[in-house]
Amino acid sequence: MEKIDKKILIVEDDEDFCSILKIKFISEGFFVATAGSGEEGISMAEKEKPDMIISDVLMPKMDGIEMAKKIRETNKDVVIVFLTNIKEVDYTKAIEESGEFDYWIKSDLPIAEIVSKAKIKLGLK
Amino acid sequence: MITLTLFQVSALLTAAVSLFLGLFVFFNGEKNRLNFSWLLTSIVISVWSLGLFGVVFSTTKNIAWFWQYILDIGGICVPVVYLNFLLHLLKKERKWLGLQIFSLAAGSSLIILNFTNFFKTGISPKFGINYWIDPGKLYLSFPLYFALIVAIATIVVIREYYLTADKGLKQQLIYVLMAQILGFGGGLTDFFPQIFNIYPFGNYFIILYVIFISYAALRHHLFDIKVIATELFTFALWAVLSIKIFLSTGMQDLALNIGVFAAVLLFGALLIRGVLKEVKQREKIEKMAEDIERAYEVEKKANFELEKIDKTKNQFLMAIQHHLKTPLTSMVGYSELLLDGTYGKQNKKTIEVIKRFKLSSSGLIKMVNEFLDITQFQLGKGVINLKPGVDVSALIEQIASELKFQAEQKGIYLKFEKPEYIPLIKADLEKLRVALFNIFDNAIKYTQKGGVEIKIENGKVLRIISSDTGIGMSKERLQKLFNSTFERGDDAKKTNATGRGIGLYLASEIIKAHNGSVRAESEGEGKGSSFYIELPIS
Repeated sequence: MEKIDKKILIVEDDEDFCSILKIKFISEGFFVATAGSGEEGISMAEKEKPDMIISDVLMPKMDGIEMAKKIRETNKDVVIVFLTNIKEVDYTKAIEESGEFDYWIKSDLPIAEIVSKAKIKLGLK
Repeated sequence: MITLTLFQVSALLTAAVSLFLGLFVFFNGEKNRLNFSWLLTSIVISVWSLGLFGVVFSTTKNIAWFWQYILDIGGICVPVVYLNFLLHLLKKERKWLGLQIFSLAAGSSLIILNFTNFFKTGISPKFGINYWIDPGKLYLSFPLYFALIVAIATIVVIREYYLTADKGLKQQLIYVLMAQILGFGGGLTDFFPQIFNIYPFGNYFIILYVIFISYAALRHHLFDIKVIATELFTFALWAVLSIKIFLSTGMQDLALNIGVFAAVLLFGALLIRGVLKEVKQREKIEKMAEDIERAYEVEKKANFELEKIDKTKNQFLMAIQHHLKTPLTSMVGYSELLLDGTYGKQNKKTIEVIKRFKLSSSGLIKMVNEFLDITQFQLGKGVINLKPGVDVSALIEQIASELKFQAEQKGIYLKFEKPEYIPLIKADLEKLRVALFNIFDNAIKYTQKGGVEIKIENGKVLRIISSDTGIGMSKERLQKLFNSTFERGDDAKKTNATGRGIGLYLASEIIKAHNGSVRAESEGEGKGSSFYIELPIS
């Protein structure tokens, strides 16, 4: 398997889904770090310096949107994408209108497509 | 023959009315310290006014001199008892105990002084009034003391008016203030002849002071003052007219006075009765209005509670649906990893089972999504996110290709005539996909022979027509088709046992949220159906 010189930080409080993503990205040759909450996501983003962060929105302690904003204050380059099951327009519109972050709907995308979209975002395709 | 001057009538009337109202308030109201303190004040005012009447009515100096003492002692006591009443009204009698002791001490000193030449040197006629006081060297201390207590009382009332949140007390304080201005203002003019050589014109206002305070002390109900004012006015009229009978100059005058008195007596009684009746009616209306308002408040509260319960229920449903989707997404994810070989090569049978597992899980996710959308529509939350540049033709082509397999398995046709050109529209692609999918999927599900044909017409609006040769619908069913959830026709249950009866409702809600419309037509049961979906172009 060919290694890809890109690191993905997965921020997800659901252990199963986090594990699925991690296994898939690793199997595709990515370096992967994980965090289980927004707070942990911030410290992992500082420590691991990922190229891309894929984050859930609703999480304990600190939600994904707040985490992304905090990370953006110090890191302008990292690609941040929300991977959520929330379809409520109130949420998605707010994320969309910020113009800074993308959001993908978990249940609408096969895992392979998530990886494929991540590669496009990182300019690998 | 006795004739009374207006000044004398005013003094007598103030004495009578003051005593009457003090007793009226005390015996009609609660027997509390406040009403007792007002009774005391009223008696003192009555004594003072009677003293005044005695002085101005007496024709001999000795009698007038006796009344002058009554007048002065009464006058000195008025501020003392009034202050006590006011502080009871404000429930501040303990806080201002020092002030009360001061007024009592000053008042007692003045009473002692009142028996000396320093207070008054004699009495003599003034301004056409029989007798009036000739002040002594220290007389000025009396009006100064009187003015000081009045000033303090006024400050206390104004201060309390702004401090209190009690609306009833505020209303009472307005009356108290008006009474103070009229009564004490009028009372102070009684000092004018002996100090400034000015006629004591304000004496006529003192009676109003008694009326205002009695009303305020008894109640703060606006209708009652009308009764009290009417009664007082009538009693005063009766009193004057009855006195006039005794002062008649001849038989003719006597007959006339008796006639006028009898007429006024009758009309006065009728007037009081009328006012009482009116007040009772108004009170009844007011009570009814209060009852209605209370009922309205209860209803409002009940509605609020119901809305709250409904909101909680919907929020609970939404939370449940989110929680359901999370493990379902993982189930689909794991099956994808198994299928794509991430966990190694699987045998054919296992792959078949995983595929079925994935299909069922995806079906569950779709169902949860539909429930979630319905709940959100019912909650009135924004579900649709319109974006420009949506190609409806390409969308239908995609849905048709997804449903083709299903139609082929049933042995029916699914045709889509793709037009050469249709304009791009503003839509929520994913939601519109759900709506159209549900309508076409429904048509296939409920068609056993023949098939389904989809067309797009481009006019003022974009019209999508789905015509099938399926089980059709009765008129009653057609009417309820898009309005109800979880309700299905009998034929529909026979043809497709697993339908949930939410697809068309959701489709209709989504299309409506696109500012579009959807309607269905059917010649009747067994005669097929046509669905017309219209979407705005701009």
